[in-house]
Amino acid sequence: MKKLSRRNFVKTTAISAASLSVLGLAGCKKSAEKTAADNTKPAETTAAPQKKAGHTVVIAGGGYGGATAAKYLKLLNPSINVILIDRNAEHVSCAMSNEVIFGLRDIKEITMPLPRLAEKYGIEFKQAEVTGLDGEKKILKTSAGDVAYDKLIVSPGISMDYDPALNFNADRQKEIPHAWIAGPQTLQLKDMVSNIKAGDTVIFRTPVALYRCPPGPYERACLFGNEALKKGAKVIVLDPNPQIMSKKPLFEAAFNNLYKDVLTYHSGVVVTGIDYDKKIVKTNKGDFQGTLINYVPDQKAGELVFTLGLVEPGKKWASVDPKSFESTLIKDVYVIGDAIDTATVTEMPKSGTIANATAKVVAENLVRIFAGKEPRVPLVGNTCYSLVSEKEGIWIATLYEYDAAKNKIVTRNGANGIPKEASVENRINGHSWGNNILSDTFM
Amino acid sequence: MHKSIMKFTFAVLLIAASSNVVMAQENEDGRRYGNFCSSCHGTAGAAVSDAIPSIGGQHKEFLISSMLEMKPTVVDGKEQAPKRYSTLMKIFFKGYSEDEIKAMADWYSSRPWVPTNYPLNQDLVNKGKASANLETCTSCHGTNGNNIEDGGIPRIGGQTPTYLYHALLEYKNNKRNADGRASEMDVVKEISDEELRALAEYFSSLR
Repeated sequence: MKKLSRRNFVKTTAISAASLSVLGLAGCKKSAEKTAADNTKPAETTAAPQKKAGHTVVIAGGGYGGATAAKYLKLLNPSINVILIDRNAEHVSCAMSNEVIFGLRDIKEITMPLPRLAEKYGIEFKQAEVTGLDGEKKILKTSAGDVAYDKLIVSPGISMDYDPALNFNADRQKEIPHAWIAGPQTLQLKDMVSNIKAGDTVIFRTPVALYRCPPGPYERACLFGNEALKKGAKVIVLDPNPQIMSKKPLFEAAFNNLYKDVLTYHSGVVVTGIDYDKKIVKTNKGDFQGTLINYVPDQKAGELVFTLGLVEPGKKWASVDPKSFESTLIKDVYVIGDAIDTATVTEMPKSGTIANATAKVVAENLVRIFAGKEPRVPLVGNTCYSLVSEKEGIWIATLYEYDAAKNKIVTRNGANGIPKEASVENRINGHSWGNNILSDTFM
Repeated sequence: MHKSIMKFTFAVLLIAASSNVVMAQENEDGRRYGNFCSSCHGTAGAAVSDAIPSIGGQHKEFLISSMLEMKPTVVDGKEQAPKRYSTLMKIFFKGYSEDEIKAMADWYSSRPWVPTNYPLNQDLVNKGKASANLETCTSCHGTNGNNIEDGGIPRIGGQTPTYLYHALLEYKNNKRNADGRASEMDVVKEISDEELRALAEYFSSLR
């Protein structure tokens, strides 16, 4: 008989134990699945959702949160069945869509086909409308039939919370695109921007916090300023917030230096009415008349979380447990991305990077839970670049971690900062960041 | 018969070793600390764009020294400027301990090195290849830009092009090599920016 050296012995047993446990687990999964199927079969009279052997995670919403969760679940454990559902077959990134509006990027660069992602990682993609949820039986109802899950991740982004007093009917919404959810409105606003002429005045109304992408409105204001400088136009920024809400000294510097001759910034502005024909915006700070109105409405969570019963009465965003992102209302349902109630559970902004990072935490923890391991508390970072002109960029960087004493996700060890000033280097790095996060999420 | 059983067992073990066992050996703490980094540096540290470096498969020793040099230190309660220049990385490293940084370096260095697929300027690649200073670079970094003898020397063959150029300018402008650190990189001070751009593009093209 061949002698086993100590080294070989250790190696062999380690591998055997591991392979046994893998086989063992697979066996367990199969028999558990069989029992579950047997139990439910007699009661089934109508077609019940087919559930494959093994654990199934269903993801509703294929944006930064949902797409990252789908990809990383498969990267971490390819044996998990991952079903990604979205009403669209492609996702247009809201991050970098300001660049499209001002002709600095092609919309094709930020349009991400979801079937491509699905095919690459073995994800099942369904283009369907999600219509309801049975949290007890763990079934998601969709226009393409019922889908059974072990864990459900919901990542619907935002929806618009129009002020009824402003009478933003469907026609008006088409006439005045907010372009805060990227897609056709992005191109519509791009067209309007390309038609800005000398002597024109742009009236840009920013949304009240909380909204998607805290620096986004000020980046757009700067790029309107950049356009106005080139064409001899003016920009009036109407901000309902008491001050610039993100990267304040940097945007302030841009408003006061780069755009001092073309841009006027007003804070604490309450819009009380809009004369759509004369393009007059009536506010508590006076009336403003322009030639182009870009009104970005206030925001709430994507409609899906309201449909699925994941929002507490009277609230605008979905409540989650900050330790896990599991819904506080329905077990085994996780909400990630812009739709979560940032105000109550975390200091984290509503950004694509946070949606991407949070999705990785949830994916990793679901894999751990399925393997019988304890989940770990969130540790995520946020990087967000903005342009202050077509030449220069800025950023914000923050590291966050769950704090048990506060039961919130807070800045870790004071790791938070912005640069001293805008620079070309930051614009170049920001462009790379954009391409890399698109790839990390959708490719 | 005995032999065939052995062969079969060996095959099963090999399959197990190549999939699950390798996964299980990942530094999971390092992966957790560094999981969000991939949103800028690419999945598993393989960047697809030009200005942010790939870190997956980079030499561990170099990753550790780079990260620690970008981390602000605190002396007598006062935060000191990091030894190495960075734009935003200094913010993130402030949030991590030295051990956490080492765990991240462990995980990222264990990922595959994926040479950049960023479209390169062939004209610049050729100029870099013809540079009289090429040998100065390869003598330490190796002809393929991957000196495996010394983990402290970064892998640059296939690294992202604009990052390499920016790194060279940082060495040229004393932003990385103050206090005599990496003094061997002082050689770039004699090379024109144009030639450094070509050398960067050439090393990016190496596979």
